[in-house]
Parts: sequence; C-alpha cells; structure tokens
Amino acid sequence: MSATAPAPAAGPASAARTQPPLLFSFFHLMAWPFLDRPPASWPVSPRYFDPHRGRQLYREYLDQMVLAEELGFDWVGCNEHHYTSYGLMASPTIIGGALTQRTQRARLAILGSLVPLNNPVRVAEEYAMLDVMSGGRLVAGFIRGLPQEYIAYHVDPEESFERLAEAWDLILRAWTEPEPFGWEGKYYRFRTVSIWPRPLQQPHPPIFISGGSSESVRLGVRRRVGIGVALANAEVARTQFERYRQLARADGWEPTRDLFFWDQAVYVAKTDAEARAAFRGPIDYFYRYLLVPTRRANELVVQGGYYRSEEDRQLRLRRVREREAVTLEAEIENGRVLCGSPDTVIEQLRHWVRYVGHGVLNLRFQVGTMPHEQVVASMRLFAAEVLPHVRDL
Amino acid sequence: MGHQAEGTVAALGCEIAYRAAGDGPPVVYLHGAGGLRWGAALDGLAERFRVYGLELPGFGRSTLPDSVNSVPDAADVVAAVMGELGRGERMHLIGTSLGGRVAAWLAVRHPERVDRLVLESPAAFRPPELPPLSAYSPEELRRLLYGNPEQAPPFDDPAVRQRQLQAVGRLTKGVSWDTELERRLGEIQAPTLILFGTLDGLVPPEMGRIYKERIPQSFLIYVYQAAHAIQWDRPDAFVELVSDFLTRGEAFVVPRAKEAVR
Repeated sequence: MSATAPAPAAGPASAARTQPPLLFSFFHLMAWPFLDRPPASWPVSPRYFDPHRGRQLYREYLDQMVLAEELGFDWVGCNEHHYTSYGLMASPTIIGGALTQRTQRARLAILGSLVPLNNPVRVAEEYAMLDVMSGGRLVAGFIRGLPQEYIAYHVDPEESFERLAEAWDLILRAWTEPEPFGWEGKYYRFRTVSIWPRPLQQPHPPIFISGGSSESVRLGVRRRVGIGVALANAEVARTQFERYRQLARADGWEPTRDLFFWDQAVYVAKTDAEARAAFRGPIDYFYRYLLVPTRRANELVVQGGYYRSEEDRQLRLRRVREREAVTLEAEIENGRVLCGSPDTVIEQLRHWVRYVGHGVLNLRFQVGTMPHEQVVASMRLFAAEVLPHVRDL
Repeated sequence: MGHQAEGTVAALGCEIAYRAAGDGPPVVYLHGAGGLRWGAALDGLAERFRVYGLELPGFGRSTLPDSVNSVPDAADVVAAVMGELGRGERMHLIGTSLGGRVAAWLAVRHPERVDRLVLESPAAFRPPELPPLSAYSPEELRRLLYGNPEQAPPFDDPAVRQRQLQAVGRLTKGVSWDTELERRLGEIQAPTLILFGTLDGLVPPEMGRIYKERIPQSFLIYVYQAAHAIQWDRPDAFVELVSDFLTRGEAFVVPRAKEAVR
C-alpha cells in the first residue's frame, strides 16, 4: 500500500457480517494499442484501424477472457463503445456469443448493451439468446452509455434517462410475457412483440446498471438492481455505494455487496519495481492516447442535458478533468490501479474491498498497449499468488 | 368537448341515454364504473368516427329496470340499442373497464352486432384477493386510476357515486372474476384490441393475457405510463391506437411512416 493512501476506515463492508463471497470479474475494454500519437478528436478516424492487426487482437483478447475462466474468475465481461480506439466493442453481444462457445462456467457480464441507443426488442432478444446459449450465465447490463455515444447513434442525450426507463420496462415485458403483445410507449412503439427465445434464467437474468450519477443510484435502488462504477477512484465508488445503501435502508431493505461492482486496472509482477516499470507505459497510453478523444466529447455532451442535476454534471466534469494529469503512483493511490508484487496487490485489494465495500471486483488486466504475453503472465501470477489470499475477504 | 347531440333509446324495458358527436363510421362507447366521462380521447375519436357514448343501465340518465340483473342482461340491452342506432348494420364497439366486461359479453352473445371490438382496461377478471372497489376512498381510487392525476376529470358527487356503485353491484353481483365469460371468450368473432396501461392499479395489466389467449383474433397492447384510465393518461396514444385498429383491423400491425404520436 502506498504510504499516503487513506487509512483503512471502518468501511461500509464492516457493518454487514453475512455478506456474499467476493466475485472476481475479468473485464476487457478491447483497446487499440497501435496509435503512434493521441487522436486529435472524437470520433477517431477509422483510417487508423488496421483490420489485419484487428483480427489478431480479437483473437488474443478472447483468449484472455477464456483463460480468465480457467484461472477461476467468476465473471468475464465486456461493454459497448462506438467510434473509438478506446475499445473495439461496438457490439458486446457478439463477444458474448463467442464466449458462450468457449466458456463453460463463468458468468458472461455484458455491461452492457447501451439500452437507450439500441432497439430494446433487439436487446431483449440478444440477451435471451446469450442466456440460453450459455446455459443461464448472462449478467444483463442495462447501461445508459457514455455521453458521446449519443452523438454516435444520433439520440438526444436529454432523453437518455427516460429512454432507459421505458426500454427497461419493455425488455422485462418481452422476457416475461407469455403472449404476443404490443407496446405503445413514449419513445418506443411496437404493435406486436413475441420474442424467441425467452431467457433461461427465470424470471429473467440479473440486471446491472451504471451507478456513476446520483440519479442512476436512485434508479438502481428503486428497481433493486446492482450498480457499477467504472473509471472512478475509490472515493467516488465508495460514495456511490454508500449512497445506494442509505437510500435502500430508507426504503426498508439492506443491499448485499454483490450488488456493487467497481473496476480497477491490475498488473502483477514478481516485484513492485518490476510491476511499476512495466505498467507505466500502458497506463500512460490509456490516459494520454485512448481517453483523450473521449474526454473532449464528454465535455461537449455534458454541457447539454445528459445529466439532469448540476451535482451529477459537476461530478462528471471533475472526473473527466481528473484523468488529464495522471501518474501511475497517483492512480495506485486513488485506487483506480492495482500494481505490484503479489503481496503488494493482496494488500491493496484488502484495503480497497474494506474501504469501498463492493462485492464484484471488475478487474482489467489488459490496459492500453500491454501485449498479450505480459497480460497472460500477470493473470497467471494473480491467479496463483493473489486470488487464493483475497477470495475470502 | 365537440358539438354533441343527446338522445335516448328504449330497449328491453330500459331507457338508455346517449351522447353522440362526430361523423364517420359509427362507434358505440361503453363507460366504466365511474359513468360516462367524455374527454379529449372521445373528442379525438369523434374527429374520425360517429361516436355514441351510451350510459349503461343504472348510470346517468339511463334506467335500471328489475329485468336487468347481470352483465349479460346489460349486454343484451346495449345490443338492442345498437340495433336501433346502427339500423341493423354492424358497429364498432369500445368498452372501458366495467364497460369492457359488458362489451365482451355483447360480442359473445350478439356477434352479428359487432364489427371491431376494443377493450380498454377491461374488468372481467380482477383477482378476488384484491379489495372491492367500494373499499377504496375516492382519493385512493384516483391514485389507482390515474398515472397522471392532474389530467384526471373532477371527482363525482357522492350521491352519484353511490348510485353508480349500486348499479355495479347489481350487474356484477360483486363477482370480480367472471368465470362464465372466461369460458366463452373464445366465441368472440370480432377482431379485438385489448389495451392495458402499464401502471394500472385497479386491474393488473397481466390480466390482458387472459383475453389475448382466448379471443381468436386479438391484439394486446400495453400503453406505457398509463394507469387504468388510459384515455386520461395517454389520450393521444389512445386515439391513435383505437382509430388505427378500427380503420385497418388486423393490418394495423403494419407500420406506416406517417404515424407519429408521442
């Protein structure tokens, strides 16, 4: 643990003794590692995508996700982004489909399809297919998406919350309704819906939403689903989960920690020095290359109505700016990065699980430019020398 | 409210009062347990149809003679009225809540009278474990009926409400689950549109399945963010759906580019 890290506080997790076991999720952004300078703007020109290198990348990235299951991860996950070298995952259900054929046990966390931007009936169908094809292993992300995705699919960001709420009701109806039905919504209308297949998990697969704003936390509590916070430091994650707990308690129920996922980038090597030396480049590439266009587009959209409360707008802008000047050390300190020898990473994990109070550790091993062999070595070391010591936290 | 005519028709010992507006194919409308309330939705329909809003036996200015004692009796009375109003031709029939139960019975017993049938939040199957309507205060009832209470019509006079509850009690005999109708729904020959609001607090919207499963040519549509009173919560959506169905029948499932209702 870094010397200046916050002292272990009596975190929210200490309050509840009968918590479900921690879940380890192997999350992949599928980044493009071959940029030789930061993209000037968002969207990133397709000219920089080389399909032959892309083919190789998809192969390696899928191999990593399959390996994660072998190594004992509980979930493997991916998400949806558009028009960017940040992630080659325009359609996460395609990756999910591939994973149904190459994994047997791990849950497939699609975090997710961007529900307000896609045809909700299509989301219901694809998620149901994944659930049936995987033998009931789908975790269904009902994700609102980063602000710029609304530019990509030409949808007014001010509609994002209402679209999410309506699409959600429609998808649940499509999953559970035994007769064909029509839907006369405000954003969606179908005269007849009758999906085949229906999901295997009954009444439907578990749902997670993003919990990055106060409004989405309220939505999560209201519908009693899990929330996730991504690319956020420990302080933000802890605040959001604590807010969720308080609202749930006010509503008369106690959420378990498996309703909370938080993502962290991880690199494990034999020694701290080796780990830091090797991770500096990939982390630097992630923030100074991959996130640059995202940041600019974010600021553009956030000026509009994507967030309905000023507090949420300011939080997002602060988080966006925070990502401008990062060092590996600062990232380790704020919790977004786990890095070091196995013992160090065990310490870091112990600290953050207690401090943040999350139950799903959404870990990213492939970061920025990190090559396949290095990712695999780090994963194996993590599975052999870290995982057994943190499973029962 | 558009220009309306009023009238009465004598049928099977009843005096049935109605209000009518609009020009076009004739449509008979049967109200729910709260009586005939003519709002923006019926005005909208009257732009494309001749709408006859009937008052069921025992409601408003309509009489309730001793001979009318059940929902099927009321359906027979309405069928006779339709014979008069339609001069023997088939008419479209829309029924809301209690009126939906009457309309479904009418379509079972008098198939020759009905062209196309619309059941808005029909109340023939209400799980018996739910409290009876009389158990709710007007304020509670309002919350179950309207997702958007600001758009709701005003409260009824308590004396009027008392009379309505008596009529409902006499026709339904307090039975909230009509097993006989459930058995006979399959006899309905008219193409049928079934509407339920996703927020319906009075009749669970899942009851729509019972109609959908049994009526041979039927379409179940959930109206998002509407409660029991779809006409008041989503009047434009109601008018669009019902007009389109009455005009195009089963072909209303085929999208048309020019329709755009929010």
